[in-house]
Amino acid sequence: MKTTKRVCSLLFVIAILLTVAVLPASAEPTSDGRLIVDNADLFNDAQEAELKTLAQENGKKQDCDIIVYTTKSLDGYSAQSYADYCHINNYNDNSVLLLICVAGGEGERDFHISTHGDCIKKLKDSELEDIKNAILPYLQGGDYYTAAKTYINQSVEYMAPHLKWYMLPIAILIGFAIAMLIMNGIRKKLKTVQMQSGAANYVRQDSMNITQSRDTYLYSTVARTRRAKESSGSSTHSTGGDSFGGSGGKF
Amino acid sequence: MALQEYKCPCCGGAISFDSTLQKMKCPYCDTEFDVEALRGYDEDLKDEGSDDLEWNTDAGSQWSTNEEGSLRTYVCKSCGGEIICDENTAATECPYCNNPVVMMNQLKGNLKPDYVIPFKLDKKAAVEGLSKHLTGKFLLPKVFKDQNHLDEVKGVYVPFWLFDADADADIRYRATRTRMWSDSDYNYTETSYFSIYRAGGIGFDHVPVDGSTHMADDLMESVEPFNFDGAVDFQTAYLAGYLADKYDVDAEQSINRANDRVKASTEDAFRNTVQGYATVTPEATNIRLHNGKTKYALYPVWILNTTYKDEKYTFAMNGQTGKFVGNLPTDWGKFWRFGALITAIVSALIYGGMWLWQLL
Repeated sequence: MKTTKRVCSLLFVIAILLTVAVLPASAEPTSDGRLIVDNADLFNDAQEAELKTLAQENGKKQDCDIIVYTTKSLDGYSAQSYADYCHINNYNDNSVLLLICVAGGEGERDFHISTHGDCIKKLKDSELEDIKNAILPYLQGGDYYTAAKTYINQSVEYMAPHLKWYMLPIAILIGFAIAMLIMNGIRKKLKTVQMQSGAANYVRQDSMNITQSRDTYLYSTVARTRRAKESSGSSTHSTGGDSFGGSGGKF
Repeated sequence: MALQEYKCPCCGGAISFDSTLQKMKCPYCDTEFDVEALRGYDEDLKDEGSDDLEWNTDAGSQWSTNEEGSLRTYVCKSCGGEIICDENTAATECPYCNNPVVMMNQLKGNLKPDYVIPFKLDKKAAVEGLSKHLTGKFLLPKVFKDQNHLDEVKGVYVPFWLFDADADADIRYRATRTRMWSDSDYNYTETSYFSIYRAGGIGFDHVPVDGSTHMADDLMESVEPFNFDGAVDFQTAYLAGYLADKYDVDAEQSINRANDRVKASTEDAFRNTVQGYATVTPEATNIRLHNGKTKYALYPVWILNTTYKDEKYTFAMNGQTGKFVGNLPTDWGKFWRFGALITAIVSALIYGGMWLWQLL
C-alpha cells in the first residue's frame, strides 16, 4: 500500500515537472515581427496605426525595434519571462518591448519593459525607472494609448546619446578651474621676489653627518570600505539562454 | 667727517673700481691700478682724511630734529659742492661733479666690513638684465615693456651679516606606510606606523642676513645666493664708483633670521634622510646651534627703479652672479581674456568627451 502511494506521488511530481518544463515552451508568445501587438485589444484602429508609425519612425532612428505588446494572460509565465520570450526570434537583435497584461484586478495587472541587444546598454536601470514612473499613472488610469506613446517617446529620448542638464555647467566649471590653474601658473612668473625658505645654499660641503638612525615599526591598522557597486549601468538576466535587461511593475 | 676720493696718482682725476677689469681705472687717463697696490695708499689716505672736513653746523637749524639725526653733509673734495646724504651712506657720487666719494668714518673701527664681494657685472649688464627679465613674460602689460623708463640704476654695496653655525639636531618622526588591496566586496587599506629617529649634525657657512633697512629684506634674499668664494678682504677702494651703506640693523637683531633659515634647512636635510614612507610628520624637533660666528660683509647689488602708472617698481640684480629679480604688474585684461579662452576650449573638450563616452 505504502509503495503504491510512493510510486503515485513520484509519478505526480514527474508529471508536474514535465508540465512546468514543457507547457510554457510550447505556448511561447509570438508576434510575427509586428511592432504593435494588441492581443488584449486596448487600442482602437486609429490609435494602433498611430503608435505603429511612431514606433517605426523612431525605431529606424535608433536602429532597433520598439514594440508594444498587450495580452490578456501571461499563460503562467512571469511578466519578465513573457516579455523576454516575445523578443526571441521575432525582432531585430536590438529591441525594447513594453508588455501590458490586463489579467486580474486593480493592482494585480502586470506591465514590463524588456530590453535586448544594444538596447540593454542604451537604457540604463535608472532610465527604465524613469520611463516606468512616467507611464504608471496612465496605466492606472486606463489610458493605455498615452502610456504606450509616452513609453515610445521616452525610450527614444533615452536611447539617443544624451547628457543630463547639469553636465554642461560641470564641464564649464572644470574648464574654468583648469584655466585658472594655467593662468595663475603663468602669472607666477611675474613674481620673483620672495623670502628664502632656508639656507640650503650655504650648507658646508659634506658637513652633514647622521650619528643615529632608527626606524622602528610600531603597529598596523586595516581599514576596509565596501566597494562601490556600478550604479549607472544596466542589470541583466538570462531567459531562454539569451540575455535581457528590463524592469516591470504592477498597476 | 672724512670723505675719500681716490685720486689718480698719474693725473689727479677721481678714479673708481672697474668691474670688468676687476681693477681701479682712471676714466681720464685710462691708467689701471691693481687694488692690492692701492692698499698702502689707501691706509695713508684713511688717516689723512679726518682733520680738514667738518660738520656743516650752521645748516643745522634748517633741519628738524628727526632729520638732523639722520642726515650728514659733506663737502666734495673735487668741486667743493655740498653732498647731503643719509647717516648710513658709506659711498656715493658727488651730485655736481659725479666723482665717486667714500665716507671714510662710516667704515672705521667696528663698522669696518670684514669682506667685500666686488662687483663683477657693470651697469650695462644690469640694464640688459632688466630687458631680459621683461622678455618671455606672457602676462606682462605690453605698455610696461614699451614705456620702460628707467628712473634710476645704481650699484649698491649692501651690508650683510654673515653667520657661520654648526647645528646639532635630533628629530623624531611619526611615519606611515600604506598597502592597499581589495576583494570582490571590500577595499582594504593597511596603514603601518613607524617611529623614526635621526640624530646628527650639519654645518652652515656665511648665511647672509640683510643689515640695511634701506633694502627690502625679501628683495635682498631673492637675489641670493652669493658665492662667498668671490669675497676678498675689505678695502675701501672697491667702493669707489658705487653706492654703499653701512649697516643699521646690528648683528644681534639679524641673528634670528639666520637661525630661522638654518633651522629650516636643518629640518629639510634631516627630513630627506627619511625615505620610503607615505607620510612623515615630525613629532619632536630639537636643534642646537653652536660655534656661531658672525662676519660683516658688503655684497654687490644693482638696484633699478622704474615707474609704471604712478607705481614704483624696484628690481635687483646680483652684482656677482647676475641673478635678476623684481615683481612685475599683471595685464588683467589679458589674464581674463585668455582665461576665458582656455575655459571655453577645455569645457568644450570635456563636454565633447562626455558625449563621446555616451556614444561608445
